[in-house]
Amino acid sequence: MIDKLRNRFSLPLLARDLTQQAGRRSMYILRTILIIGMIAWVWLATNSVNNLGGRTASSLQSLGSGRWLFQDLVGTLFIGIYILVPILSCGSIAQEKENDSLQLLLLTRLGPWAILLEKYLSRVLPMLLYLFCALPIFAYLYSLGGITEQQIFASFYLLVLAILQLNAICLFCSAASGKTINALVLSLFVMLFFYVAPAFLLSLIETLFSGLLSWRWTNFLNTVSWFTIPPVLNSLADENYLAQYTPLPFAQTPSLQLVLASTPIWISIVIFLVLARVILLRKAINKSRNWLYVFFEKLDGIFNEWNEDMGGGIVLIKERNDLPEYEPIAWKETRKSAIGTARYLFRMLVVLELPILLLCLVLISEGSRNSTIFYFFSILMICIAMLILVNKSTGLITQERMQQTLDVVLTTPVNGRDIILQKSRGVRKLWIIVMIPVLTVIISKMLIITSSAQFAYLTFACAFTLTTTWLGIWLSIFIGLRQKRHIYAVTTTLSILGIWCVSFWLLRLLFVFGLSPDDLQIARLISPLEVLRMIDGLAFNDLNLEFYSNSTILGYLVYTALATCLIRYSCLKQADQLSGRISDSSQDLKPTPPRLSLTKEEKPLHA
Amino acid sequence: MTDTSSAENPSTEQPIELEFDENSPTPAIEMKGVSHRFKDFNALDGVTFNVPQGALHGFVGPNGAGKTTSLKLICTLLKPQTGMVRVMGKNVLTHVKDVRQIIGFMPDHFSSYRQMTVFEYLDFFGAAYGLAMRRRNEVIDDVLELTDMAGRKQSLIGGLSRGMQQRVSLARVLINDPQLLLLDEPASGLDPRARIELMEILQALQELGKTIFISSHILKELEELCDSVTIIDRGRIKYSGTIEALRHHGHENIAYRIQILNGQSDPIETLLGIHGVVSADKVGNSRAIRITLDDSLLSSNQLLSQLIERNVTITSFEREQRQLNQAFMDLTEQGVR
Repeated sequence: MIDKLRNRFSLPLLARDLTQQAGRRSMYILRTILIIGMIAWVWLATNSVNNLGGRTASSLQSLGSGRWLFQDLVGTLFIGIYILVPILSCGSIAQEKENDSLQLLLLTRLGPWAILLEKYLSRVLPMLLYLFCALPIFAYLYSLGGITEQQIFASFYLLVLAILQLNAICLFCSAASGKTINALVLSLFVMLFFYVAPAFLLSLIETLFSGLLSWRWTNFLNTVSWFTIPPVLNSLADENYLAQYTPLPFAQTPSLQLVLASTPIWISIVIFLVLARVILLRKAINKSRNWLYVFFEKLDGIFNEWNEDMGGGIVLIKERNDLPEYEPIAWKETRKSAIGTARYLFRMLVVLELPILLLCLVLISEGSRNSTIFYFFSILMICIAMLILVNKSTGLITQERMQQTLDVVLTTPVNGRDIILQKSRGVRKLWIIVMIPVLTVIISKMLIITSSAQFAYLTFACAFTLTTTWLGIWLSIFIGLRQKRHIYAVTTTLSILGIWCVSFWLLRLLFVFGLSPDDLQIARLISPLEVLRMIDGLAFNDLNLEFYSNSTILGYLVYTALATCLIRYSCLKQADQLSGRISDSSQDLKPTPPRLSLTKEEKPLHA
Repeated sequence: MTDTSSAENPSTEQPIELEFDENSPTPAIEMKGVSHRFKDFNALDGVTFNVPQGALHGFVGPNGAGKTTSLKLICTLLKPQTGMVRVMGKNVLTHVKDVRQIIGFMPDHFSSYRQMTVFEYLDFFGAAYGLAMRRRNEVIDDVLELTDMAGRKQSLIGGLSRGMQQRVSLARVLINDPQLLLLDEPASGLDPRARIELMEILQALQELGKTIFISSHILKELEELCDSVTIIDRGRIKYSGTIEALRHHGHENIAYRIQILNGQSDPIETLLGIHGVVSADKVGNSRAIRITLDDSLLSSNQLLSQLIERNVTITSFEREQRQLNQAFMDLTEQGVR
């Protein structure tokens, strides 16, 4: 009886996934980094608290310091969750598809919901475990004062919700994709769309068609769009803003306010889980296809139809059906790769550029009050461009490795440096295409700012975009050369770029613990997001900031360009070695002599 | 292309106490004391063997024996940690480009760009080998003719059957007219017909003067196809030489198998009475008898005449040869490392 019950309620998939994850080397490294990070954080926090009032200060002076330390800790935990969850969770279902084991699972007694929920829990539980590791630090900060139990509860609750929500999004994307890499890229796009698009669209509607929606509706939609984002809800709860959004019967109880305010998050979790369930069976048997390719294929059909109907089948760019002359790899990348041909690149440009151009024209007609929207718009476009470029650049070598075509190419006399340079041609074309919408946004903003700031803004913004994306491309190629799987290369590159972007906030944590404001100002040049903010500041012609900003931005451009040159040099220098063959510039290599004699037992038979 | 032997470091040329014929022409493949380690796994341990030019040489061994590692060392994908690898007399470490120009490597997995046509695929590799554009068309036609794929020139690779894709791979290997073909499991996954056809193509290539080094698990086919073989097990060479020598290797006395006429009385006693017969045993429940001779005392002719003299009526008489699979089983150890 007990055995029957145990069998009925056993969770084999969950148990297997948890065991597998626990045994992975990367998980050991992650756990070690996490624990070292926490110990370092507590040590630095203690140090800063001790220094608060100087040597003579009494311990009473440090009371209340827990509040800002707590806010920084929660902020860091949110960043960690948003970086780690997509990386750890996007492969949950897609990996089963890659191994052809999902169909086998569906043939067992496990139903689709059981598979989904066990997969969901297998990703949620380890993340919750990492979160629980932070609880002793919460307790320590509580002892310093300045925070209430309510604030600790609210932050912890919202951190848990962030884990649940992100995992639901990743599970949906994983169920919709045939490959882990596609799931990762899709989940990043869905996250971007889900978190940014509603608020962005609402502010756009407000700007363009003021009065279209009543004040009540605008307010309601705004509230819902912000309340689906756990970190935003956390900062609102922290500042006690929730009461004004809560119906009267609950307004007196902060816990109830928070639970009620988090309803959109719970609804979004349920929606994504249901979507995952709906799509799981549909995509279980279908062979994986590149969704971007499918999208363009569909778009191709529509364009062809329009062209036939309206233009009588005009061909602007004739697809050249030529053969490689002396650079076969470049030919393959630009003629035979899925998104390498001029036709597809042009279509991609149309898809990206047309809506942006229209939007920019409308915003320009509205005047300078839209300059803030342009700032977020440019960040969004740079993120999309970077995602596309990272995906393509990391795949240059890893895709060949995974399709097992690399060995054959490596046995040809084409040297490693040429292979990389020829392969990068495809990326260069794509780079130009994705840069056009970004530059459209920059130029549009330039047109609405004061004329005295136009030149500086345009120069710096263009230089920033080009150097940052150039660095992103070569970093991706370098990491792609070192990694065996595309997904690992993309996640590693995105993690490095993500940490680079938030590096200033991480340094700010150090500032809390004693970095001087001058040091911190210099530290701004490390983070691209901060530099972009400074470039945006130039548009307002803030003379106080101008000199300081210019030198910081120039510093950023110089070090980014130098870093890119260094990475590029390293890629080309070690191309043979990293791609997995003997370097053809190894004339100076001294072969190791063979052993002078073999023992009698080792001697082979030679006839 | 230059001769490499004088350019190399003298320290690498130290003699090794193995049985190499110094007077033979430059071997197509020469491995001397090659060892290779992957972390804790010793993939190759002092591997030494030669493959003569123009040979169709089989390379056999159980899974994980070191076959693919050896092939990767020969085709410059791996750097030997100790020892020396030479291809047509050129050291793979110091003459990498030259070696790549004279070899054609076909890995154990099918590696082709599915989105290309057969012609584009071959043209791509023609360009990679630096073949002049005006010559490429002609060469592609030739290799397609040789692999019997001329009718599929414009077909998409992704739409071809496994056997045809393997032929395209073989055509690709031939595009630079290599002197040495390195084929890793070329017949795996092919149906019997495709397999036989592939073997015929390989024989045709050998007749054209190519050296073919073929790694395979299908011993029966290798036995029919190859004239020499190297057996590797757990990173060590167990045998390297002709198949003929391997068949007789390990037999101290010459063995014959005779088949006696149905209804005849058991001739074992009679056979054992012949001077020079060491043993005579029935083979299972059949009418066959296995006889071993001391060849210093008795030849096969003498044995036959003695049998006739003693009224033993036989329907067949053949010298027993060890099959390659038997030799393989004898030389390799049980289990997977």
